[in-house]
Amino acid sequence: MAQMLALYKTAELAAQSTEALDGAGVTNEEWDVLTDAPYPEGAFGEKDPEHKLYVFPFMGACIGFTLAMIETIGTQTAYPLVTGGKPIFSMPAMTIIAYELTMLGAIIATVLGILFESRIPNPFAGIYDERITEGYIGITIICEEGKIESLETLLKANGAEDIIIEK
Amino acid sequence: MLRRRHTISSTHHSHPPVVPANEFVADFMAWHTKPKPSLNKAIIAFGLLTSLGLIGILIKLFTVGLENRSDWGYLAAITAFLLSTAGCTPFVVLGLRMIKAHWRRPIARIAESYSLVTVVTFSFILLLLFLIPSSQNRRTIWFQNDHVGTVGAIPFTPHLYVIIGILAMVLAGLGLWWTSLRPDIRLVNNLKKADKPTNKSWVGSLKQWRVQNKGLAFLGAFFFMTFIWAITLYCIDLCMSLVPGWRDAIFPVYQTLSGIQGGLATVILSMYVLRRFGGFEKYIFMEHFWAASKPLLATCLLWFYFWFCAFIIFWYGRMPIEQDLLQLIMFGPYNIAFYIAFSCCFLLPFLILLWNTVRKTVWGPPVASALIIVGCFFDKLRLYVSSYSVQDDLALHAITEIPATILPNITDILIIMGGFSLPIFIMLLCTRLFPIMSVWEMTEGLRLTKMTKFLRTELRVLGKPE
Amino acid sequence: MQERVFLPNKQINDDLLKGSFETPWWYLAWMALFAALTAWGVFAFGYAINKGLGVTGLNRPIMWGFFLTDFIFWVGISHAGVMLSAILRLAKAEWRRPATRAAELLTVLSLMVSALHPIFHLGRPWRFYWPFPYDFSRGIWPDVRSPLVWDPHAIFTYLIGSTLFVIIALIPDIAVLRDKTKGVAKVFYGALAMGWRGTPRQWKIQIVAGFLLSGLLLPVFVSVHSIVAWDFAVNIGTEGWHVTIFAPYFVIGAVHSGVSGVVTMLILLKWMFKWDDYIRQEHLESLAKLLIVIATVWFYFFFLEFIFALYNLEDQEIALRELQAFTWPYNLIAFVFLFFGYLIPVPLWLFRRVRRNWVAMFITSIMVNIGMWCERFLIIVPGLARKTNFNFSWGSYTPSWVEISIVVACFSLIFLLIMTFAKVFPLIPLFDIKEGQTLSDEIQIGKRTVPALRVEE
Repeated sequence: MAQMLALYKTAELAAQSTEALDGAGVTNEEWDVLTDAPYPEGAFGEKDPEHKLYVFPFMGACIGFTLAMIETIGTQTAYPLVTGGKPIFSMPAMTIIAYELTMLGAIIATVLGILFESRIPNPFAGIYDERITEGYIGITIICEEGKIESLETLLKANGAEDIIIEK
Repeated sequence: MLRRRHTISSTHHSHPPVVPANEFVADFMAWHTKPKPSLNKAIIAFGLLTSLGLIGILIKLFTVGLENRSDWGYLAAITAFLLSTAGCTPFVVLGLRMIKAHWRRPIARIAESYSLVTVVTFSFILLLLFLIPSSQNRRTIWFQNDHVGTVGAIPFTPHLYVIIGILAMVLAGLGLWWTSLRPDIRLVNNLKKADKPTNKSWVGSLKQWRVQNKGLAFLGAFFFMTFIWAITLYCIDLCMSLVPGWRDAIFPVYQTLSGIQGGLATVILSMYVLRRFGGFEKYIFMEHFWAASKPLLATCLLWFYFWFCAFIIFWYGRMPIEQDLLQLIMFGPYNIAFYIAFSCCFLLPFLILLWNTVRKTVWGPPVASALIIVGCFFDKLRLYVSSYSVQDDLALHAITEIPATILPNITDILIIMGGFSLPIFIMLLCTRLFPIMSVWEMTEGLRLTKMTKFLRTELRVLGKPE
Repeated sequence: MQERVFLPNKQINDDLLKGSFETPWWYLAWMALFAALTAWGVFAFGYAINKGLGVTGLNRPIMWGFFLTDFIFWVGISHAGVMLSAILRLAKAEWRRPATRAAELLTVLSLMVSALHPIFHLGRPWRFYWPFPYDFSRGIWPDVRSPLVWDPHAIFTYLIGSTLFVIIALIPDIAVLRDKTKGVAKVFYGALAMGWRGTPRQWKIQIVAGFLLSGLLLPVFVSVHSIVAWDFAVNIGTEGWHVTIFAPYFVIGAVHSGVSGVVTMLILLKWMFKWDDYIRQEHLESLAKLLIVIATVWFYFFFLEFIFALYNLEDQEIALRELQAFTWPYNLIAFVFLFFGYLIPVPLWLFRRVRRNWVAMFITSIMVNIGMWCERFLIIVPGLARKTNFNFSWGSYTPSWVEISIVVACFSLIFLLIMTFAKVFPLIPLFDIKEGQTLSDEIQIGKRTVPALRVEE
């Protein structure tokens, strides 16, 4: 298997290329787009990425809430200090600590989820070129070595400025 | 199960079709001018229910009179409810106009039309003012007592200033409604080819549009200020100051926020009714409800926040005055009303609106809104009925006795029914008599919208002339 | 939107990464000054640890002075980030783009600095970790019913959340730096970029993450300053503190000072780095309009707080307000607070010419923060000065050189850290600016071309 990276100066040429790739039978799983800024979903005809990021905040919130209950109930049971006539297990005070730790758990879990769903850190992420961050649009293709030549011709015909191949 | 046509899945990029402006005008005017027998029947039905409410007030007036404040707690509650729901809808649409939210356009007229409800509400407030003593030698924001003497004396407090404050809000709301309506009245008359148009002066010149926009901005700012002041005066002078020892600086803010929440809920429900029964699916779609659901969720959270701010201060200090107050308005004779209010204003709508999948439906936000309307009523009930039931001398430093629960009698039930029916009656009547959608605002929005191809996808483009 | 400029992506990279690749003389001069002031503050703190808190102006009954005032001030400034980044991101306001990272950075740094202040005014600062439940053997645990325990929970939640927010949003820009640098810098940025390539999946997660984290941080931001307010408001012993409106009053005051702080920062960035194409008058005008609304709401809350303080007509409360309004030096501070915080800037902001004037906005934004600092001082010190009923235990407060040095050092530390950050990372998010360009469009209506926005639903 080989990896190809075609670089385009404009988004229009890149979109034209992806259309040509679809026409040539190259599936969405085989090609991908690299950009230096977000584009509207489907702008290059790519498959809408599915993710389960929304699950992470809930998991984190549950963990945070549990920790908060352990802290508030545990500390007050271990050292029952009556202050200001308030009950030992004071719901309003427990609510505040529970709220903070729930949110903290949700935020940390969300960040972990972001890293996981973005598939980073990944030092072996795949073919890349530094010109992407200068504004070039990159189209990566995973293909069999026998198809490299035909794909190269197709991409050049649709405006690719440079093509990098890694076998 | 969610009905597919009401949801947008993450893999489906469907945008509602952009209707050309002149097609919308033709569509809408055809709808507006066609006979609507079911609408007429609904107007009659809700009109009768509203009249029952007014009859309830009259019966109460002639049987118990204005001697005892505790007999009128439910009227005070329903008045506060009306101020916090229908009375606040212009405020909601003003805010949306200020931030240039396009989704306000289909519901702007309905929201402004509800300002007609405040005319009736004003008459209720005039009646209630007979039950409120002068602010002399009791704790109020007017500080009229022997300390102040003649130098700081302000005559006729609080009555005159409550009247001025509420009246200013009513007039600002009516002004907004009429200013927005003018171009569409002319349009309706032109299309009907009426012999005597009621608004001959409007011709739609550039100058008239500029003046109209400036007028809406000015009246909007005026309404914004008068509304907040009106709510502040109403909740302090006709509620808080009637309970000795009740000092709650956040109460006016809490009531204002409750109004914004109620107003937004009213707007969302009206939007749903217009879509469902008016047949406006082409112009009111899921995106409108989705956009409205976010501020609604925010208001639910803020409701809890403002309530908690007051609660934690009273609860924490353990002062007898404050503990008694918590009993009176939350955990004592009106605890059930409080729990319903808490559930319906915060807990249940929060749990519903938390899910993006539910927010992205046509039914989700209206369900939450309906709960909020119910919650709003019970919230006002527990605040106003309880405060009106206090029998202590208002010059005292604290309440001496927590009064028992006052349940509604038959006149109170009629008043409550009338109070709920009044905004619905007004909205239906406005639908019958005036264009219920702001035609000029809709056409402005449609002209600023187009669908365009972007690379390999299609996107909606919204013009931002500002 | 009317003033938008379309620039090639390469130029955006070069312009906004100028700070990382160039070191003008003024940068080193200012860094040296801020480092010196910070070092002096560290010395002053060390002196206070060595000699005890008696070297400060704190004494019975005024045990909370400059340090607590500054603490609340910096927590207030930290509210800028969430206001501008989170709320405007959720509202999809296009004009937020140049301001988000600066605002988020200000949040993180000001929170770090604010967390130092309770340590400064502890008699035994080496025991600062006692509010945390960490030890089984001492037999005593922190009282979770106390706002002084709620405080660290809230501040650290907000600090951790905001820091993570900044880091996540930085990743795409770190990738740009990775691609533009060589040698050790490349290895450094490469490690931080974690293999970012810019695939549609990664961008989608980045955008969803922005909304998710914004939505999660918003309630936290409200709770943090509310809990700080409850440090005062739950107290029934001190006049002027036990009011229900303190929490939202503090929050809205924090937003007021925070957004003003961001305005100051943006104008300084524009002047220093010559980012005229990125920080434009339309951004300034939008911020000014937002400030008018925030300031007016704040003033309404202040009015309610004042009115309800006098509501019960208690002698002690009236005496406190007379002290604040009419007695030297508090009367001067009250004058500065009212006029600088609202009565001068807001009427000026009503004029379009002022809103679009860089110098005027710079001066008024600084005035607001001076006014808000004075407001916090007025809340804390006069109430404590007359705390008890016995006038033989009334006191006055004069800050010593130690407190002044530490407060000045904290301001210097913030500037030092911002300038250090500007050297290492871009202060305006590159991808945000590029995305704004991608989503820009136009609509033709008659003879007029109206700027438009492509909307993704």
